Amino acid sequence: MTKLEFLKELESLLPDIPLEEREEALQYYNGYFEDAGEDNEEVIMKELGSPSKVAAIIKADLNSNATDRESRGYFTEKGYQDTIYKEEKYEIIGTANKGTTNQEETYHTNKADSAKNPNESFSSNGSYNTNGGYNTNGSQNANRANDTNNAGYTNGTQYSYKNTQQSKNN
Amino acid sequence: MVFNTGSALLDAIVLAVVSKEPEGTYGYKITQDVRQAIEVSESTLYPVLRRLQKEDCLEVYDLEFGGRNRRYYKITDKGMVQLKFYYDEWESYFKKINIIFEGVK
Repeated sequence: MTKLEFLKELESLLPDIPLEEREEALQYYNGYFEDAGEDNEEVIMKELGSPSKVAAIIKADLNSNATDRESRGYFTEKGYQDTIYKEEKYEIIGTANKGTTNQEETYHTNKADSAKNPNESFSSNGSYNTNGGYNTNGSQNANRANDTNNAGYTNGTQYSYKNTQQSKNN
Repeated sequence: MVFNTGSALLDAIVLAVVSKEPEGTYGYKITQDVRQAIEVSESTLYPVLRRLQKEDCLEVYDLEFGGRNRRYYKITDKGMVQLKFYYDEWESYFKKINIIFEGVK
């Protein structure tokens, strides 16, 4: 794929945003390629991922409002204190856990141990497993592997809930 | 890096990077500069720059460069106020975290 093909495809993927936004985005990426230099075209395209990925990121931000963004920031920076995206967060943790069976086993062991205990409060406390902060930390490596697969979003972990949804579509 | 960068921190970093160039700077260079500090993909910054521009924290102008127009981003007074706000927040945040970490090393 050449730079021109990339930009053309990107343009064709943005029919539903205002003309001004489309032109801005295309001008930006055209300039970006120019500044990176002809020799780097392929590297840049690889980095950007596909035109559809770039289009999705542009649209995601256009369709979000300030509250969305604040929530996203809140979600990543304050982790488990956030409740708005509980669903999505749980989903991500679920994905991460697939790679960390040890974590699961540890949890079950704990559960079994506490079952012996007449005081059931620990095992019946369902929030232990769904507590985002705890599990996310425990399965950091799995999370990172996941990020790498979705290279375009690596840093933008604030987009992670959208990220998961996008992976499903792919 | 194992730590996440939230959207507020990313905004703050972009504003800080642009503010270092009084004459303005352009998308490709901003991306490279931000990447000195955090892992950010090439496609992450466009929406951030566009939004900061719409919020009047950045202003843009086109300047001829190498036979074409290059778009430059420059921080506005409003952007400076926002950047200072972010910096104060960041300072108080990392100080508190550092207190917790004291003695770890």
